[in-house]
Amino acid sequence: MNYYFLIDFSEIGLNSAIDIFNFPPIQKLYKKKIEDKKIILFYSDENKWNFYEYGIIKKNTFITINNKNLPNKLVGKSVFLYLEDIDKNFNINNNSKYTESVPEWRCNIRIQNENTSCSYQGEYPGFFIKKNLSLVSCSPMVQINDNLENYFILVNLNINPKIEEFKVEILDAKKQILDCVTFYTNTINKYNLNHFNNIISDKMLIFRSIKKGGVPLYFSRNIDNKSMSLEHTHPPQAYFIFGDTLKYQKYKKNFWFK
Amino acid sequence: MKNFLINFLSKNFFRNIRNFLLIKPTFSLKPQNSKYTISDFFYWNQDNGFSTKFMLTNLSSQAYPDDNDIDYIKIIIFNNNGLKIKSISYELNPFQTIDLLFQDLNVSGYGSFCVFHKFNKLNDIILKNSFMAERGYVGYKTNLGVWNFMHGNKYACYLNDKNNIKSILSSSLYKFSYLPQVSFLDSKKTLIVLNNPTKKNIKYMIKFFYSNNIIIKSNTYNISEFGTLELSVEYKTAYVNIISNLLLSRPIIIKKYKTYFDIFHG
Repeated sequence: MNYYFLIDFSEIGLNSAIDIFNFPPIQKLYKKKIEDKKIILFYSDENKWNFYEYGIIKKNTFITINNKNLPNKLVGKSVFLYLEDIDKNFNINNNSKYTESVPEWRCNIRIQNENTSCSYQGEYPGFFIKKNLSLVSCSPMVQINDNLENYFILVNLNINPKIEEFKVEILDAKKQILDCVTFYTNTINKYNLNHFNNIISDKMLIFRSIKKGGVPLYFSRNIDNKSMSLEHTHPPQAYFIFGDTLKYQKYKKNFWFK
Repeated sequence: MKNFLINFLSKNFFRNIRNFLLIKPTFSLKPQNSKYTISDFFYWNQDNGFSTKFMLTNLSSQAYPDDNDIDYIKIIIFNNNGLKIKSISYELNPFQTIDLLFQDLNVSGYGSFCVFHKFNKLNDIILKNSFMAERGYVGYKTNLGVWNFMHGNKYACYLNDKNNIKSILSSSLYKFSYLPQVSFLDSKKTLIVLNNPTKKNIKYMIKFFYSNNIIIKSNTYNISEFGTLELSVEYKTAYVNIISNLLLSRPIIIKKYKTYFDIFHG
């Protein structure tokens, strides 16, 4: 089961939206039956999951959800969503493989306003929620310019609704620690990187966390919100194909965690 | 014995059989020799006010950060018709990343490019039956806007000893239909970009749909070897279906808005 999420940037005048499709990217490679599903939105209130049934998505259709149309109880929350069987209730621990496909079943996850929009095709892989993740994200996408703002976004979702703190350190390529920030589990964490404008010379910044991880995203915008960019970094093993690619992830993480 | 069997079954002959029988299909085949590194077939655009840059980084430092290898890089650029217009070499020090600005390369128009790496520690990767792949980050901008980044998303091709680019994209006797899971209804104009890292023509059929799943029209497009196609999406199209003999016909999508654009792989 893949999960999806809305990136709320209402504090800087931006909206979020997501296109959810109820059909896989390559029908021929999908063995399961396509059926009507319930869209369930949920968030953690620190102790338990709260959920909201958005509606039914018919098979072979798509729906665009905009955060402006969500009920008040979801405003300002880190909202995740998934597709559930019509006759079942919210259960983060369900074992459905409905949105597991080859290639990955994704949603278009957008940050937007009336002028423009930026997005990426993304998902929060279901197997992440039961794992103790860690993070090494090497990003060349932080843009240094006085008229821009850059944000590091780390999306974390865990099967346990408890919200726990964890630290993310930001390093340069020489392994100098430039900053350390507190993030939270079950949260779409956002961190403004603009104070870096005068201190970094490297093109590559490294974001690391030994105890937790998630999906790392990089968002940039002109301060007038007329142009924006959103993209994620590859996991370390994505630079390899065939063979035991996870071995390389281990090398890389060992290096950056030393 | 187990390793022998794994190696035997992972040969391209069996990959093609798997693809034919649709048993754990694989979107990419193995290069002939594991000393080669793999590249995406990246899109560039220096047309109509667009600028492109590639974040060129020492890939050895991504794989073996302890080893401090120099990365010897070759970049090959094609125009939209598939004509090779530039071949450039770079050497990057350990952990070095540079902005490769296309405006400095004296190229115009649009097309695709590959980035191939070579470094000492590749031998170790070879022994482990893996291949290093360039799937880096390309930035696009117009005027004073931000660089809008998109990462590579395909294991497309490799460069052999004779300096020939060889595609590793899997194809089939069957037609495969790829549906980018994105709606086009919020944008003023949408472009679909498809390119061809192979030495054969690729024929794509694209079906354009309204949001109620009614087909608006379907068209066929041919892309010549190493060529790139930019295609305007029909007005009121909600989504598209891209059909070809490639197992993965994943396009790049450009959505244009009032003040800027979005670019991402579908």
